[in-house]
Amino acid sequence: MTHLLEVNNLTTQFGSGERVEAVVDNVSFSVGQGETVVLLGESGSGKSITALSIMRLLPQAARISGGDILLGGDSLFTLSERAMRHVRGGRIGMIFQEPQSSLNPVLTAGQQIGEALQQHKGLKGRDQLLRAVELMDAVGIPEPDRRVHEYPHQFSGGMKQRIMIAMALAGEPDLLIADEPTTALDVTIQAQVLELLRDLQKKTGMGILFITHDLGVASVMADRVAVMYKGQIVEQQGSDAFFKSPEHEYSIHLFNSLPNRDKRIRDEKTAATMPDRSGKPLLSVDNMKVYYPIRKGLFKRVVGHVQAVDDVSIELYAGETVAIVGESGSGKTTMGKGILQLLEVTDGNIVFNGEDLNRLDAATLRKRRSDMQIVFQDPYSSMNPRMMIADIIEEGMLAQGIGSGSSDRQNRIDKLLTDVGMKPEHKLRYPHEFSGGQRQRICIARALAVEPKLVICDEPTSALDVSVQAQILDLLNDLQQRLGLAYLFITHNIGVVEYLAHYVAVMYQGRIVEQGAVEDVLYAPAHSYTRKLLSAVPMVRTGTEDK
Amino acid sequence: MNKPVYLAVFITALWLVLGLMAGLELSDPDRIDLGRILEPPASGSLLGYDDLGRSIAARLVAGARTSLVVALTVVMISALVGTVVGITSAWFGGWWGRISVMLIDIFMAFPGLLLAIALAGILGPGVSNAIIALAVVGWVGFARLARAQTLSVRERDHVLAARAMGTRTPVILVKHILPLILAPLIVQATFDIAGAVIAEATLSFLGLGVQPPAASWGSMIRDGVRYMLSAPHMVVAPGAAIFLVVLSINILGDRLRDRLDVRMLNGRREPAAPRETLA
Repeated sequence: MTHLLEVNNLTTQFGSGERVEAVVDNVSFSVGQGETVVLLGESGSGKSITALSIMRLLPQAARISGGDILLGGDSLFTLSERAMRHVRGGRIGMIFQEPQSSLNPVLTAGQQIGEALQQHKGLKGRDQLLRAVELMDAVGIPEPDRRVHEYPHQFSGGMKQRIMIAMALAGEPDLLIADEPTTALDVTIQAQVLELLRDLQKKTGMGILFITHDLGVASVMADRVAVMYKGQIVEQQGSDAFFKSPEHEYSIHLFNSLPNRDKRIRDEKTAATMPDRSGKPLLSVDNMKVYYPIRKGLFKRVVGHVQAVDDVSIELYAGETVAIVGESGSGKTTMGKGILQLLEVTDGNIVFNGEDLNRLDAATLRKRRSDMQIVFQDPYSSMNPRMMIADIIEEGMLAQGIGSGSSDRQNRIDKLLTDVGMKPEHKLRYPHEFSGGQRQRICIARALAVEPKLVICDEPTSALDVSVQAQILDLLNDLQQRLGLAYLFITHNIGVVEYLAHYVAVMYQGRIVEQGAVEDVLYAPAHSYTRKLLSAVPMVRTGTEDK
Repeated sequence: MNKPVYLAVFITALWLVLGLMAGLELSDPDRIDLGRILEPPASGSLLGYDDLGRSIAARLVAGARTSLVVALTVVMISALVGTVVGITSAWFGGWWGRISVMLIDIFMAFPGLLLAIALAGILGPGVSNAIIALAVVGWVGFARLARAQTLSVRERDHVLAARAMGTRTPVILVKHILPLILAPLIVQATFDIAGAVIAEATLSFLGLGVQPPAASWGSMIRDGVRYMLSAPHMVVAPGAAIFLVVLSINILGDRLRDRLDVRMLNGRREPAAPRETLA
């Protein structure tokens, strides 16, 4: 039986001479008509380079050094560059992760779809426009007659990804390569786009090569799963078999890293037991509001307000974790920064340890800052690239007058680094020498250096691979038990909430629509938005526990 | 490095060395030899003599000192004032932000050199007044650049983290802002040195810079203009000096910009970080 796409022993290398590295190492797989094959792997595993090798769109430093790729039985490597242009967008369509930067901002949606139509179908003028409208309709963009003339900035992220899909479909491809197409999207939008792709596949019978790092998404999409690790495919199985009983050690590791309720029970973390909520709360936020004025016209009159955080109330006790869940733009980060007084709060009381932070003068507030710290999402921008690790961790101690002298502070730095699973000798290095997960550990050490009672974690694991995420969550859990820390954990990942949090508040458009104990909110949601959010999360059909 | 860059390094170094050496008075630029008035270059007299019988070579060296002192002082003052204004303007905002932006806009609205000429005219001729006039014009470029750069790094998470730890504002500005915006400022300073050399020569050409008998490349050209047809060497020698020095500094500045840009690019993208191993 001939497959639509056959990749045989593909090897792609970076560099030349002595420093050759095979990023894709002897990879073989195939995609059949109407079949979806998911290429699953963490960052750096070579999955995107595999896709680019198929399209022959590799970056300059890379070179295909072996193997063959057959599309419908014809080798792609023997084609001329001219013939290859007809394959790209013609027989193979491709969509990318970042819809924001994949569209040209100065061309209308119709013009961009039209470009593909002209190239591959020879359509011009009115025919082209009509077909573009048809395609936009097919990918579920409302009012396509009108919106075909709009520019990318007038579309939301999910709509932009739909336009990308329409462009990829313009050439009526036999094969669609989707490289993390929903990673940049909110979970409710992701669910819509995934459904759209499945629908389109049913209608057109195209094969899909779907690249993702997300086990949940893989579970929803895949007919077959190929797991990539360090440039090699370590396991290839039918979807049902794979999710029931992954075979390779690395696949099993991936499943075990996935944060959720099962893992919480398996790991026997204290998070499974509810902390004592008697006494006074450590932090209590009452009717907090953060409004931004909208100014218009010549005199910059205030014509309205953006209500980034609107009337939010929340309580946090020592030693517990409260998760704030919401999609992008829901105001969860603004709320976190507002609590720490890192931006101006319009109204409301933020009582920490019996004091209203809103009413403290600058000098007192500076002293109180040692009690509350923050860990950011992006481990790359959250450390000064020109400072050594020791200086980064010491900075807070100096500001707060912690430690009796330089040697005492150095000892503390050594201990902090050990506490977060790093080595004391790491302190003489610079941030760029560390991986994302290691940097996040250092950021945690920096936050702990001033001996806080409360740490606000702003999506601390969102930029990390799932296996690294598991390690960081583990560390946070450990530190909470040892030091009695309270966490306000901001996240969009429901699995993380299940794994780590005691209480959860769901935010939507600046308001908390529902809050309560994790078990209540996640397993018996009361608010319609919570239900919508939960049902959009792609669930992994695990069967690992049965074994 | 390719040949033009070597040449640029050599000429700039020569300028620096001669500028410093002139202070040692190896040959007297003011010594008048009436027998050699307007003598063209020949063996025994390297670059010839001017209309008063002074050695043009000696005056060229003295002029190098003038241009060096003026250019470096002007750029140092401008960079210092401009960077402080720019960083504080972006960081504090509010009324200071509005006033500083307004000031920057007003100064930018005037052609720089014309403003400097007008100022030097009001202050009166002299080296120190020329320096003041050029610095008054020069800080604006640094202020605008420092402001824009500060705005772009101000919201980075490590700055926010420093605030969250209670770090004092001056410490944040010096440790978290300044090191990250330094590269473009250094490049700007390099180009401004070249600009200041031309500006000093212009002021001196107009008689607003150094006063006779002290030598400057600008005033040497002015003296030579009257004899341009009979003794072109009086104009050619200082003109060539200005041309070569400015060109060399610009080549070096270009080079420096490329180098610093590449490093910034790497800093943003980050070189491949070590991979986490399986736990």
